[in-house]
Amino acid sequence: MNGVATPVWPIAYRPLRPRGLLVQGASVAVAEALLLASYRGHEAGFHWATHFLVGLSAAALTNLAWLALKGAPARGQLLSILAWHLYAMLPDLLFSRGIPHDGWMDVFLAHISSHYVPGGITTWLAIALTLSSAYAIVLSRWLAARLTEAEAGAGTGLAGRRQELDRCPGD
Amino acid sequence: MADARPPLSPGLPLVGWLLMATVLTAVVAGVVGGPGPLDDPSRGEQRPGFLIDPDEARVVRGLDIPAPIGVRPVFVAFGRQPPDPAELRDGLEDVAPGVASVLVLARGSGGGAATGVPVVLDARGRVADAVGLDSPRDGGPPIGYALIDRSARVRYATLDPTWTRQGFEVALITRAVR
Repeated sequence: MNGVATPVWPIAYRPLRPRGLLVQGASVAVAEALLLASYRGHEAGFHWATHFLVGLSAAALTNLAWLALKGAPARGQLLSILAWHLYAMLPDLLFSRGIPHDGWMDVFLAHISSHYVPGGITTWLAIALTLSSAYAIVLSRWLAARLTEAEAGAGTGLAGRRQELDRCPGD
Repeated sequence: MADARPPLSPGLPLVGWLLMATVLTAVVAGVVGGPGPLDDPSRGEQRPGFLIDPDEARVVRGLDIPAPIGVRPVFVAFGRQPPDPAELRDGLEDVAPGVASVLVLARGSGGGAATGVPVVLDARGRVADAVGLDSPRDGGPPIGYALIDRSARVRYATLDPTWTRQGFEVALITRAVR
């Protein structure tokens, strides 16, 4: 016992711990910078951008769906961007192993077809920013609702959910 | 005692999104950049990384260039003017064994001699048209390459002003039709 109070969060808040988000954000930023440098080394920054933006769109959609269906944020809020990007670029990793692209590789988030969208990167940037802003707005409103409930003394702020608690030293 | 207040302020996701959107837009516009004047107007058509289906490939059996078309696979490189011999040698040394090479130039006729590669002068773009190579954004002659398989079908044709530096890619594509 060191005399310092240990905060106890509802488990549903776990994906939003500031320290966790900072670690995830830094990890994603470093990994993406390295990936971009690697693609640019092959004069293919265009491909990095396309697949990153597709991955960002997929991450926003899955986070939105999870929040809507589960009533709480998904784990790996920011890591999911990197995960979906890696999935979308998997054919490029296969290419680097000597396997040419093929039409079936569209299963990796439209890896082939995504390059033929009218407007190219600009279109994907608009889609990704629109979807991610939608998620930011919904998450913001969810947080505002939880804050309002908490200030009104309505339990853990997770109406309708089991009152699970999670001890998080240091947060 | 549970702290029922959420760990983030409601405005933070919006601030985070604004920061991400700003950085991402700057990276896409400033670091990735748009297509250059020598690139394909349709970026998806440039260096697609996959071979054209044999059933959909155009056949160029009668193409009049000094290459064993219909006998061996042929790597056809396109340039605007005679390239630096060392650069051309670097680019061609990654062409898979068993694949013949030929250089098509829009101007001049040298540049291939140092590498022993046959050179064709094609100011009117006849060869590029035959293999289905697009015109770059600046409307000038193409820089890139095409790959013709041993059945005289064009299995790959791409603009690529940097092809001599993309040895791995040239090797992979030429190995795939060898």
